Amino acid sequence: MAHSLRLSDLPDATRAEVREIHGHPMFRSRMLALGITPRSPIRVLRRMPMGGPIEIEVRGTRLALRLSDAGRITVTVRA
Amino acid sequence: MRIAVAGNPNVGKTTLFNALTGRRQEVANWPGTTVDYVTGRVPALAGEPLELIDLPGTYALEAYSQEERVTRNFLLHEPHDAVIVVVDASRLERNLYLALELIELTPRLVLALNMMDAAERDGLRIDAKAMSELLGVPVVPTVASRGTGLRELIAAARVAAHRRDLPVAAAAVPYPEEVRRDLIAPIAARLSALPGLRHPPGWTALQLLQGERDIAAALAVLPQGKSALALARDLLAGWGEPRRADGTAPALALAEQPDVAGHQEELGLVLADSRYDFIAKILKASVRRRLRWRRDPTERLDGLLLHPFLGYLFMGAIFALGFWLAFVASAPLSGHIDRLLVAMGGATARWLAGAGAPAFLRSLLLSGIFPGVGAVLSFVPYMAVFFAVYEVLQDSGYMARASLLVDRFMQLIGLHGKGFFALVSAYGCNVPALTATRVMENPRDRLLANLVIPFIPCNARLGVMAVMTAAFFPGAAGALAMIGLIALSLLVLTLVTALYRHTLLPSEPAPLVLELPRYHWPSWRTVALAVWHRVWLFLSRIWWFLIWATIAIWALTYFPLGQPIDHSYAALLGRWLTGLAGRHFGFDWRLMIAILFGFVAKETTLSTLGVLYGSGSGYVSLAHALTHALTPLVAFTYLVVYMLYVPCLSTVVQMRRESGAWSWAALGAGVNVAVAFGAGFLVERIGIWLGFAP
Ligand SMILES: Nc1nc2c(ncn2[C@@H]2O[C@H](COP(=O)(O)OP(=O)(O)O)[C@@H](O)[C@H]2O)c(=O)[nH]1
Ligand SMILES: [Mg+2]
Repeated sequence: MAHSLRLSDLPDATRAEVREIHGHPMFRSRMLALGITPRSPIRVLRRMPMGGPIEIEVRGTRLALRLSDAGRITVTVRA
Repeated sequence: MRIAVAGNPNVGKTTLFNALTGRRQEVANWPGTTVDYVTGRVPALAGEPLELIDLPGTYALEAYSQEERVTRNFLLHEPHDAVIVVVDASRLERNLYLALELIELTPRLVLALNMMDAAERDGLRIDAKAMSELLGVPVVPTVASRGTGLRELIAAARVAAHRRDLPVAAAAVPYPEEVRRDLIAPIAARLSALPGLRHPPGWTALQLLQGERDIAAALAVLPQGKSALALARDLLAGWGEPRRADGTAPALALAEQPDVAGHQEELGLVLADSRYDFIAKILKASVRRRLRWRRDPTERLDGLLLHPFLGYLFMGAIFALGFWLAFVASAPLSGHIDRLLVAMGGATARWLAGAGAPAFLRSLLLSGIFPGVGAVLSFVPYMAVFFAVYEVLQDSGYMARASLLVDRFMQLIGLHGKGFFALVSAYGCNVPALTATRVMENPRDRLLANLVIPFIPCNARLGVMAVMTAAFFPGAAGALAMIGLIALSLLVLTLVTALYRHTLLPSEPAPLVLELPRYHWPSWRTVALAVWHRVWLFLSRIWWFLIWATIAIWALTYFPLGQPIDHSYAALLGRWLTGLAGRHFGFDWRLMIAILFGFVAKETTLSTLGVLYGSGSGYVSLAHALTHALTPLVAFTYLVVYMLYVPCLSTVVQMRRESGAWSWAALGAGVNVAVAFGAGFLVERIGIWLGFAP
C-alpha cells in the first residue's frame, strides 16, 4: 500500500518518492532543476525548531525548504 | 579566445579560475545590474592568449536570480569561444542537469569533473572516458584546490573552441519519441530554415516549447520567426490530445481554449524526467561506488552545527569570533593608519610652512585633504578582515547553515534567512553589510534588507553612543541606556520593515531554496583575491565622494577668513538647522552641525563635538563640556536621532550601488532621517511627560 502526503508532513528519515509539485511555475521549475522531480526518492533529514525550514536529501544533494514551500510538494510512502 | 566558466554554486569555479589566472584578473560590473564578475587571462605558452570569465553560479539555464540572469545572458548573447562547465564529482546527479542543458546549447564545451578528491573519499570511482562518450563532450577530472588536471582542461577547451558541428542537441538526451517526433522535430525543421537564428534549432525549439519569453521575443523580430512561434503554440495545444485514426493530431475547434500553459508545465516535467533518466544512465555506466562505512564528515558536523539547541550556540560563537576579528581585532590597524596620516599631514604642513605657503593651504591639507584620505583608508582594515571572514564562512559552506538556522526568526521580522549575516554584521559596519545582502536571490528581499540595514547602529555609532551614555548616565544607568537604545533600533527596524512590506515592496520573503553544500576547507588564495576585489571596488567608488565631503566641511568651518568658529559658515548653517528642526528637540547649533558632519563619517563625530564645544581633545574634557551644556534628556534624544539617521556618506553610495538606483538610495536616506527625528521627538515628549528636564 502506498499513501501520499505533503513533504512538510513526512516524518524524519522516512524514505519517500516525490509525487507532485504545485505552486508558481518558477518555483516548480527550480525544484526540477534541483532534482525534485516526480518519482525521485526523497527524505527529510532534520527540522529546524519552531516550525523552521526542513533539510531534505534528494538525488545525492541536501536542500533546505521552508515548511510552507515543502507543503507544495506531495510525496508517496511505500508501506 | 574567450572561455566562460559556468556551473552550480560552490563547485569550485572560482578556485579553478584563480588557479588558472593567478593575479591577472579584473573585476567589472555587469552593465545595468549590481552583479560583479571577474575576468582573467591565462598565460599562454603557445597558441592564442586566453581570457576566462568566472560566471555567477547557476542551477539551471532558466534564471531565478539576478546573478543567474547574468550567467544566462552571457551564455546566450555574449560572444565566447567555449564553455567550461564545472561539476562537483561527488554530487554528480544534480550537477549534470545544468551540464546537459548547456550541452544542448553548444558543442564547444568541456566538462571539468572537479572535486575528484572528495569523490574518491566518498568511495566513488569515476570513468571519465565512459562519461565523455555518452555526453559527447570531453570530460576532464580536476582538483581545482590542488591545481590537478588544469593543463589538460585548458588544452581540451582550446580544442573544443574549434568545434564547428552542431550540438547533438535534442539527440543527447533521449526525450520520449513522441516528444521528439511531434514537438521538437517539426519546430526545429522550421527554425533551421530561418536566416539569422543564433542558437541551435533543436535547443531553440525546446525553449519555445517551454515558453521561454526572451527567446520567443528574439524570434518574433526575425522574418518568419512568428510562424515558428505559432507552430510551437499549436503543437503544444494539441499535444497529448487523443489522436485521429490516421495518426495526425486533431484540428482544434476554434472556440476551444487550448490549455497551452498546462501542456507547457506537463512537458517541463517530461523533459526534466528524461534528463534525470539520462543522467542515471550515465552514472550507471561511468561511476562505481565502493561501500564506505565511515560516516560522511559533513553529516557528522551538521549533527552539531544544525543541532536544534547546540547549533545556535555554535552559530553565536562563530559569528562572535568573526565579528570580533573584523571589528575589534582590526581596530588597532585603523588606528595606525590614522596616526600615520596625522603624522604625514603634520610633516607636510610644517614643510609647507617652511616653504612659505599660505596658511589656508596648510589648513586645507591638514584639516581637509588628509582627514579625507584618512576617512577612506580607515575603512580598509575592517573591510578587508570582514570580507575575509565572509568569504571563509561562505566558501566553507557554513553560511548556508546559518541561514537555515535563523530563517524562521528572520521571518518574524519580515526578512529572509539569508539576510541574517548581513544584518548582524551591520553592527560592525553598514557598508560591507550592504554588500553581504547579495546572497539573497530575490531583488525585493535584497532591496528591503538594504533599506533597513542603516537603522542598525554600526561600530562607529556604537562608539559615540558609548562615550556619551557613559558621560551622562554613569554606572548601571549607562548600560541600561545603551540596551534601551539598541532595543529601540531593533523595534524601529521591525516597524520600518513592516512599513516597506506593506507599501513599496509588497511581498512575502521569496521561497528559501538553499543548497547545503558539503563542508570544504576554503582556499586562502580564493579568499585573498575576493577580499582584494571587494576592497578595491569599494575604495574606487568611495574615495571621490569622501574627499570632496571633507574638503567641504573644512571650507565651512574655515571661512569666512579670520573668524572664530561660532561665526563660521558652519555655525550659520547650524543655527539655520536649529531653527528648522533642532529647537524642537533642545538641540543647539553645535549638535546640529555634529549631526550634519557626522554624515560624512561617523568616526569624526566626537572630534567635531570636541572642536565645537571648545573642549580640546580627550575624552574627559569632552564629557565634562557636554554634561555642562546638555541635560540628560537632550543627550538621550540626541543619541536616538544620532543612532537612527543616515549612517554615513559611504552607506548611501553603497546603497545606490546595491539597489542600482540613486532614487532608492535617496528614499532610504530620507526615510532614515524622518524616522530618526520622529523617534527623537517621541522620546523627548515621553521624557518630558515622565518629568525629566528638557
Ligand atoms: N576538496 C576540494 N575542494 C575544493 C576543490 N575546488 C574547490 N574547492 C573548495 O570548494 C569551496 C567552493 O569553491 P569556490 O571556488 O568558491 O566555488 P564556486 O562557488 O563554484 O566559485 C572552496 O572552499 C574551495 O576551497 C577541489 O577540487 N577539491
Ligand atoms: Mg565563485
